[in-house]
Amino acid sequence: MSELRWHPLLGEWVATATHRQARTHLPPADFCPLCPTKPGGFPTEVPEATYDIVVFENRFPSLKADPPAPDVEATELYPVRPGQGVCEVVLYSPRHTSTLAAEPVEQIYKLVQVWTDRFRELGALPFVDYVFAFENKGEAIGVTLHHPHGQIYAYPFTPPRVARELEQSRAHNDKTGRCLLCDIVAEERRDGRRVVSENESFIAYIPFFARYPYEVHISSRRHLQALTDMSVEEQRDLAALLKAVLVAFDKLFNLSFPYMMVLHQRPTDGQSYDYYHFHIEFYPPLRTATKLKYLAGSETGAGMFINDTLAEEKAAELRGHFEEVVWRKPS
Amino acid sequence: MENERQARDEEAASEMHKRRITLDDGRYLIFYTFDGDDSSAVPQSTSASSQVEPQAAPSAEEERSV
Repeated sequence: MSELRWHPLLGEWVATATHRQARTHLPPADFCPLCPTKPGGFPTEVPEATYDIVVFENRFPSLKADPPAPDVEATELYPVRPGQGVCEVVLYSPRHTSTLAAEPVEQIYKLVQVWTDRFRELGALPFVDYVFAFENKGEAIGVTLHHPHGQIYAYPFTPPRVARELEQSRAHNDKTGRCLLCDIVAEERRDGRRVVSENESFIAYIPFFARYPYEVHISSRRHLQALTDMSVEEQRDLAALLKAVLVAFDKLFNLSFPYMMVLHQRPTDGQSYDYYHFHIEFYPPLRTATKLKYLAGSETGAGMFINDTLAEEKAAELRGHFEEVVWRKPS
Repeated sequence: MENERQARDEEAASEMHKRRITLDDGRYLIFYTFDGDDSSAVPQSTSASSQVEPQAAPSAEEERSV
């Protein structure tokens, strides 16, 4: 069953979703459930012979628009609420062996438009306070379906990581009158050593405070809070810089680079978040071509990350793998 | 400036189309298509990323859904 249980020590919700344990396992390797359904073939999640980009509700969601009542009784110490929300899967391409890095920049621009549409549509739902788009890529992250795809969770609350960023951004704004991320971008551009690439609208850098060796952040150069605030040119620039970063990642160790990619936008709860700033964060688990950065005792139990590398050195390393992004059709 | 941006956004939005269907189990699925598109049938780009080996095919143990 699915429900939200309150964690009184941390002051945050934990989702239980026991039905996810029963997720079906795929017998033969070529029966990918995310590929189009071939004529006469087995029925996949997509009942048509081809597609461009597809979004669908996750078959095994941890949050549902119409959730069942919680199975357990709430107490004063342990509040419980229904697991209300939406969990979507976003199929980037019908090509099974592709990745987002391998897709043309035009396809990534389409994805940016789809993300924008999902932010607008899901954010308008009365029970959704936060729309969170993300991708888990690679077996090192625990992914077992290699078909290129991401996910979107529409939460009934602002999740704790984002809430903490909001608090920090608001405190900085109260103190200085400026946007925290605008100041971070200015500082990274002034220093320059950690910047890996930039274009007219976005900048990619491994921040001074990176917790992972190749923790690239992509921030808008203009102060804006969400995909829906962007112009067409900015969305195209975002696609181009995403493509450049993803290709550089793959070239770094000449392998399909695993990562978590998350989009941080403003909440959709109707409040004003003018002090916040849109950005994308990558958390790649590799620290070398063959070694993983594990989240061990200090990171998981204490919340303090130990980065065995210097952002300045890793940025210089990654910077050497950027190449020009070419559009098939100029804008 | 704002009007120009809005006009461009509306133009871009008109290029994207959504077709929503309901699956047998009641879930929705949305097909996104784009006007003037010729890239979806084209194999992946010729950038350096094409030199990267694709990941191993899914094993029999892999999950059917995400």
